[in-house]
Amino acid sequence: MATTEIVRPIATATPSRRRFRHTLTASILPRIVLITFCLIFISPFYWLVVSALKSLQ
Amino acid sequence: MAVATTTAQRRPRFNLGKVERRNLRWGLIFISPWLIGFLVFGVLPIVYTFYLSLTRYSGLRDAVFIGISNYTRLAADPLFWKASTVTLNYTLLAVPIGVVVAMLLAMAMNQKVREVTIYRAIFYLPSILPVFAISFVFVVFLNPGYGLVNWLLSSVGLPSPNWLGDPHYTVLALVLIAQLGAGQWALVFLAGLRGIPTELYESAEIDGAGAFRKFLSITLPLMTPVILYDIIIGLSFGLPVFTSAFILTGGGTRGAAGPDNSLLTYVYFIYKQAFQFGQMGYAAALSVVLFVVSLLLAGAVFRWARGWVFYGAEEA
Repeated sequence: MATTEIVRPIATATPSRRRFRHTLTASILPRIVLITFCLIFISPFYWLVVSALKSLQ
Repeated sequence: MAVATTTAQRRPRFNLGKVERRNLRWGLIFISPWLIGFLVFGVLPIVYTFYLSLTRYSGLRDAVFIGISNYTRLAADPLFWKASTVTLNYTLLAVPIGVVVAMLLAMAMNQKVREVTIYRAIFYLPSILPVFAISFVFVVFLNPGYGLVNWLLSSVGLPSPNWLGDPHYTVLALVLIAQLGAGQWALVFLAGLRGIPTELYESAEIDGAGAFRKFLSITLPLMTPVILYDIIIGLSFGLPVFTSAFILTGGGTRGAAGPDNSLLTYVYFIYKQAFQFGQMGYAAALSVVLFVVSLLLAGAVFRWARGWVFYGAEEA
């Protein structure tokens, strides 16, 4: 019966570097993208609220 | 079993029994408020528009039957072709860009981030604002002198176009406004993304697939039914675009609809004919053409979709 051997890549990065990369891709980058989109989508609403609170003078 | 099947096959389709007839009667009574509303406010105006399109009618005097004169007139009207081109350009730009933006938003909202619900609420926020308000804000945002959009573009070294003064950029301005409503379509995309089995991604990871390969080979094919839905909805919203063009041109008070009539969308043209020039018959003929073109386009998209929409996940 033939068996399949799973060849795992040799880990070259240090644990701290791997942890940083994981934090970057799983936590920091998604938040940057989400916050950028948020700024775009909230800007018209922000402008409406700010304009509504201004006086006519 | 076989006898019952044979009896059912032989039985005429509309030969209802006593109980079925009673059920049908009560069913019709219960749905009659909606049915009457649909007939009076849906079907009747469509049929009446077909009739008006064959008449000369100002809205004040009686309609005079003139045959297909309105149709021959619109074929020779340069503004008809201008409005058709503007609307087609807008739809061809807004629909694919809308799909891409909604997909990007959905993928961003699908991230495992603790405060993602706040982001989702913010993305949805412009969708609850009226198009009128959003368009009005964009008149300020797109101002070439002090607008936010040109300030952002110039801060990264890009040229600052005259969005509402240059006919090459006016349709782009309409497309930009339309993208603010992408939040609601992104929720539909998000539901589609959540429906993709995670086992597929796990299997792909074992096979060594990267993020891009997983997107191309798993996410995109399984999202094609949602993409088709978005295209159809995008067409039904894109072809009758009116409010944003109306607001950007100052409500048509400046004569032409934007520089070189570049914001004269099809429905804006219908509005002008009907309510500014009092040519209801001609406007009705324009509406009939839009109705037929919308039906044909939707049919063509459904036919085209047979080749690329993947319904495998539902079958499995």
